[in-house]
Amino acid sequence: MKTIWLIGQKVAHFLAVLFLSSFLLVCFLWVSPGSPGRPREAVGWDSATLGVTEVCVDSKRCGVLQSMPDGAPRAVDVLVRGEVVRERVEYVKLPGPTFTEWFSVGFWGGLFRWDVGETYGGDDVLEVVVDGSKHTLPIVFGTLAVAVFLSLLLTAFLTWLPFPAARGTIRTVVLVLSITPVFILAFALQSQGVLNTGTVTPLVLVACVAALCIGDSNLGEMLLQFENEYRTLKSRDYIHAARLRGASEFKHMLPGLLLPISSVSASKVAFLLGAVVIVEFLWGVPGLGDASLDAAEKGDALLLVTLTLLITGVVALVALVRDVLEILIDPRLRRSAEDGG
Amino acid sequence: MSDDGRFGRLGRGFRRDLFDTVFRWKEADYRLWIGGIVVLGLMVMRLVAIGLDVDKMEIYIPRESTTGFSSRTVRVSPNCADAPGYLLGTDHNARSLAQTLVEATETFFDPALLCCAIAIFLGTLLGALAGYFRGGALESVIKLFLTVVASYPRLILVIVAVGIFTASLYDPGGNMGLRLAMIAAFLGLAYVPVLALAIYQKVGSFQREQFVEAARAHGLSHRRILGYHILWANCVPVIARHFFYLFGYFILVETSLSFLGGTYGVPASVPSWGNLVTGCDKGSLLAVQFIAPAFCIVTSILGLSFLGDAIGEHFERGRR
Repeated sequence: MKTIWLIGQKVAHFLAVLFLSSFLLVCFLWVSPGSPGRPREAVGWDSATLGVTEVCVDSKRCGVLQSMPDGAPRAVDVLVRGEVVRERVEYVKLPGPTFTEWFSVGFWGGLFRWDVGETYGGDDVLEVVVDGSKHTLPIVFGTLAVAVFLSLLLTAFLTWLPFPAARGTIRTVVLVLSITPVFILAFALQSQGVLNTGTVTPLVLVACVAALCIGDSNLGEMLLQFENEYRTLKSRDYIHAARLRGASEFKHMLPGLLLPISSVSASKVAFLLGAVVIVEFLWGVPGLGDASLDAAEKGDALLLVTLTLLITGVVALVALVRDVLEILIDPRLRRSAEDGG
Repeated sequence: MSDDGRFGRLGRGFRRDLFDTVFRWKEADYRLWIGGIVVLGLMVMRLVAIGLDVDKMEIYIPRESTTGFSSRTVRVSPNCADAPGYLLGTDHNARSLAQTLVEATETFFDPALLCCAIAIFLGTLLGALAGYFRGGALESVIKLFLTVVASYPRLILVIVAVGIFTASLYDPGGNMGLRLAMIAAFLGLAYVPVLALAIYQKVGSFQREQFVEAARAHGLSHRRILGYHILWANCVPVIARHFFYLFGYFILVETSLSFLGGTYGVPASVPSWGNLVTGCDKGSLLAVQFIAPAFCIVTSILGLSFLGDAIGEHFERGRR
C-alpha cells in the first residue's frame, strides 16, 4: 500500500512538472517579441484595415496602417506618432488571443482533442511532432543503451585489470576522447564519408549514435560514475557478508548497480535530447531537433511549445521510471515512508 | 582556531590547502596545473583580442602565378590557404587563422562570465534557501521550480529562447550582442538546478554541524549564519568548481550554436571557434584549419573541467 502511495506521489509530481514546464515556456513566449498573443503578418494581413489596424516596424515602433503592402518586402506607409513613414513592417498587430485562451483552450484543449493547430508551413503540428519523435527517440535511447553497455564493459575491464598504471592510462584516454564536442566528432565523421544524402540510411544512424555516445563527456562521465559506484558497492558490509556466506556476489550487487544505472541514464536523456539537434542538423535527419531549429528560426510558437512539451515529457517520464525503480528496489525508501519520514 | 571556527575554510585552512596543493611540487595535482595554464591562456588571449579588430584585419591576397609557355595565370584562392607569413594559414574569410582564433575568445569570454554570474547568483540563492529552511513550503516550491527547469534540455532551451527572440527582430544577423547575452542568460538559467542542488546538499549537511549550532546559540541571525558561516566560509569551493564547469560548458554551447549557423550562434563573418572548425571544409581531418580550432575547444573544455574537478577534490570539505 505504501509502495502504491509513493508511486502515486511520483506520478502526480510528473504531471505537475509536465504542466508547469509548458506553462513557464508559454509565459516566456508571451512576453517575447514573437509572442503568440501578437499575431504576425502571416496571420493578419488579409483582415487588416486601413487607418484602423496597428502594424509594427519593430518591437517598439507601432502605428496605424496607411497603405496596404504590395508584394515583398512589406514596405508600407505607417502613421507612427502622427507622422507617416514608409518602412518595412515586421508584423500586424491585430487583437490576438488572450493568454488563457491560447494556453488552456487552444493548446491543452487541442492536445486532448488531438488537434492543436497548424505550423507556419501549414502542416499539422501534432503530425510534425509525432513524425519527428519516430526518428529522434530511437537515436536517443539507442545511444543511451550503447553508452551504458560500453561503460559497464569498460568498468568490468578496468576493475579486472591488475595494472594500476594501465587502468589510469585507459581512463584518461577515454575521458579526453569523450570530452570532444559532438559537433566536432560528427563533422569529422562527415568529412570521412558519412554524408548528408537527404535520406536516413543505417550508416547515418550509426554515425549519429557514435558521435552522441562518445562526445560531450557522455561515455567518460558514465564510466567514472559506474566505476565509483562499483567500488563503493563492493566494499559494503552486506556484499562482504554475502561473499563470506558463499552466496552469489553478482546477485547481491545487481540491485545496487541498477540504481546508479537508472539515475545516470535519466540524467543523460536530457543531455542527449539537446545534443541530438546537432547530428540531426548535420545529417538532415527529420527529427525533433531539426524541427526545433526550423520552428525557432521561423518563430513558430505553437510548434515550439508542442515540441518542448514532448521533449520535457520524455525527460520527466524517464525520471519517473527512475523514481519508481528506486522505490521498488530500495527497501529503505519504503521503510522511511512507513515511518513517516 | 580550528578550520571550523571563525575563519572557516576560507581562513587559514583554505590558504594552507592551497599552498599544499599547488606549491608543493611533489604532491601537486597535474589537473590544477593544466587547468591553471588553460585559464591563464584564455585570459591572455582575451586581453590580446582587445587590441584586434576583425574589420581591420589584413586580408591575404595571393600572388597570381604564371605557368608554362602559354603564360596561363593561375588564380589561388585566398581562403583556407597555407599563406606564407601567416601563422597557421588563413581562415575561410582570408584572414590570419592565428589572429581569428585569438579574436574568437571575445565571442565567448564575456558572455560566459555573464552566464556564470547568473547561474551562481540564482543557484546559490535558491539552493541555500531550500537547504537552510528544510521541511517547509519554501523548500517544496523551490525544488519543484528546479525540477521543472531541469526538465528542459539546455541546448533546446537556448535554441528556443534565442530563436523566438531573434526571429521577430528585423535583422537577426545584426543583433549578435543581444543574441550572445540571451544565450548566456538562458544557459545560466538552465544551469541553476545543477548548482542549486549542490548548494542545497552542502547547506543541508552543515545544518547539524557544531559551528552552526554554536552560531545559533549565540543568537546570530539566519542571514549571518547562512551568508557568512555556511556559504562564504564553506561553499566557495563548490561555487568555484561549478564556475569552471559552466565556463567550459558555455564554450561548448557557443561553439555548437555557431557551428549550426548564424541564425543561432554568431554569423560566419564573426570569428568563433565553432564556425572556424567548419569554415574550411577541406575534407581532411589533418588540415590545420580544422585541427587548430578543434584543439582550442577541446583543450579549453578539458582544462576547465580538470580545474573544476581538482578544486572539488582538494578544497571541498568531505570530498577528500
